[in-house]
Amino acid sequence: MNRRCLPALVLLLLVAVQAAAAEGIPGDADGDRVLTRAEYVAAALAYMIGDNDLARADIQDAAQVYAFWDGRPREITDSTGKTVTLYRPLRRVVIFAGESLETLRSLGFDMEKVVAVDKYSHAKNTFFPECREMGNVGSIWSPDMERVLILRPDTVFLYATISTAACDDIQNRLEASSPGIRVLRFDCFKPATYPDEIRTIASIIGKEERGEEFAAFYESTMDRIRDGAAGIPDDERTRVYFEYWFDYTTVAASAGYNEKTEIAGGTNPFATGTAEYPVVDPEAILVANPEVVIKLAGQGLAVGGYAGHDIAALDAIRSDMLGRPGWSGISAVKDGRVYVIHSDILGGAQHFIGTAYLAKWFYPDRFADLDPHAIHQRYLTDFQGIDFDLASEGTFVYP
Amino acid sequence: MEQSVVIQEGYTRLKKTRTLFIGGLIAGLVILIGVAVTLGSADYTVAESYIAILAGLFPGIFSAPDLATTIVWDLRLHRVLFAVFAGFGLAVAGSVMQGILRNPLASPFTLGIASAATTGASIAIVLGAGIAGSEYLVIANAFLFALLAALAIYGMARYRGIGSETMVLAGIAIMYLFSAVTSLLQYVGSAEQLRAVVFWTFGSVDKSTWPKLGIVSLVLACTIPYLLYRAWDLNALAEGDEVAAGLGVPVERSMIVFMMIASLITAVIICFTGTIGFIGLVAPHITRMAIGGDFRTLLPASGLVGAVLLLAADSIARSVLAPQIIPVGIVTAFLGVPFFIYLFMHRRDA
Repeated sequence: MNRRCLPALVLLLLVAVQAAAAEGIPGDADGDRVLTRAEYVAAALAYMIGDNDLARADIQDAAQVYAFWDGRPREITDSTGKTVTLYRPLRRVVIFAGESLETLRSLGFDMEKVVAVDKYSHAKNTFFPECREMGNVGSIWSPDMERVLILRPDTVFLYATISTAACDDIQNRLEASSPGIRVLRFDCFKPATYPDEIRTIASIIGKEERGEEFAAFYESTMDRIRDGAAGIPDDERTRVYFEYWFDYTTVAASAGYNEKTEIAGGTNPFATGTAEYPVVDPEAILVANPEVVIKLAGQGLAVGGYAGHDIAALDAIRSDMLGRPGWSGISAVKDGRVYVIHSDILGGAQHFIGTAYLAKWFYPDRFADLDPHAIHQRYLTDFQGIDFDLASEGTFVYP
Repeated sequence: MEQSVVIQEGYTRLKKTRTLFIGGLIAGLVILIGVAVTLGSADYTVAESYIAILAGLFPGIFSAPDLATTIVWDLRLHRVLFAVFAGFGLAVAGSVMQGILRNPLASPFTLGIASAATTGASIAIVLGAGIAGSEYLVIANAFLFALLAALAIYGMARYRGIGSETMVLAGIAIMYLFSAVTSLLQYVGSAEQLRAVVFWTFGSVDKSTWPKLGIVSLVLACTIPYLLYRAWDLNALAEGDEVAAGLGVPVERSMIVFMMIASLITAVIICFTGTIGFIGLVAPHITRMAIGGDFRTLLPASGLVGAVLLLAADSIARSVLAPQIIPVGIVTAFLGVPFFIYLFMHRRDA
């Protein structure tokens, strides 16, 4: 054998042994997947007198498993339907899905345990100031796998139902190179699955009570909207032209923004489009004569949101739309019901805030008691725990 | 003596073919314009559409509902005319480039001008997002980069000695360079910026307005008469540098002037539309197959072919999935390629 190969082989074996050691509850001496009181005490005592090879972190994990998980591994099912067995709590987390990061923060997860995030969260200095200090692992489309491995995460968060090919690829590479790593996949932006995801993630991090509180807050808002919009006959639903970031680009049935428009009781004349974000003939909008026009700001139209308190920019977008050929004849323009909303509160984990605004704009009377602004502020203060005053910071809706 | 009679007869026949071809194209274009202005999501009848046009021209005499006048005048007419002018200009630019470079594959695309424009647009899209008036930034940047590419090709060719081969090679090098810059921008940009860049490369006349139409028609009005005026020089250059020099055409200077004019026409169109690639390559070929390569007729005729192709493609793009609009760059290829292949397979002298 080549002399240079031997050290490399030994190193590889060591890594494999170490990784294998990560499986199972630390201190579970008989390996029966239950950490008994006796086993825990023995492990802790041995650690104190330096009589076993467990590290301080192992003893801490064992304590948590014993105290909070009843000494047993925790089985959870993520949003891909896969069951993952957790033998110890999350300690070093890498997150590729910004919505999961936000949800973890809503649930009071200790952000110091997040060692790296995706490049988009990393760049959100206002909303995720703590991410500046964390590693940056790129995006799901071009992940920096070396950096991920160097950071030795025990858990990696990916998306469940979008960009599945890219996420599957990352998962396969992680599982091949780091046996025992836990890959958890959640979306955290879909109204249909978010409440369940909140509860599952809460149980993963041992914050069930907080999870219940947050899920109730989320559900109370969404239920209020759904109940308020229920029973409106189809022909009385507000006709909404929803414009994506780009001019004359709208949303069709497959787009998440269409779902939120419909939850809020609106009906989209262009929902039948074949593309997710179809470009429509400008004259079709005049013919459809929408009662409300919603324009999306953010990303492709980067003004406002958490990063900028710039009402003038949103006003300029709105004025541009009002001046389009023929728009003076549209009901929405005549009645002053053209609104700009930022994707920060209509996409992602905060979609319930934006959906509340939509509902209020579509049916001001039905939703007179709904206060999206207050919901938003409570979300930021009570759940996100960031010092952000909506009265003077950020711009999310206009007018 | 007999031979000259045969040649004369052949020439007379060719002249007849040319007249028929150009006459047919003009008639076809007029009919197509007539149909295109009646197409749209608003289901106006032919009569309603024309009354709306007339009401805009003679408000005192004709009257139409406000909405109809707005739709026809502010949304349809300039779009239809923009497609005509853009198709015309791209085809003329393609003819000129294929002629002076004596390369059947030469077009604003193979020479890197379009990929430079894409880079310019991408820079504006990725780095300028959110800046007020970013639409104009995209247009200005695309235009600037297209001309920059033309200058770079010119510079390299000049250094190496201007000739058709050096220009084509320099153009291909430029194309790859700018494509790489665009790819890099797409790589660092967000998903939404990527979407915007990709959409730009599809090409469409959605963003047409009357002022933009004015700019394009002004450039065409200034350049095309000059090209026609120098059609004999183009004919000479197409026969080869030596032939042209022998006929007293200043080869280098002419190549540069023609190249710059073709680039200017291309740049002013694609900065508004994004990359509509196919017209500049195929319209000249179709025309040459039909009526030969004499630039005196090739230029206007291929312009007309380009106009018909682009307008037909845009009309289809607006109608097939109405009220959705398919980017016209996609439809042009679907429409033009089968036609081109048909001609190519059925004409021996192609």
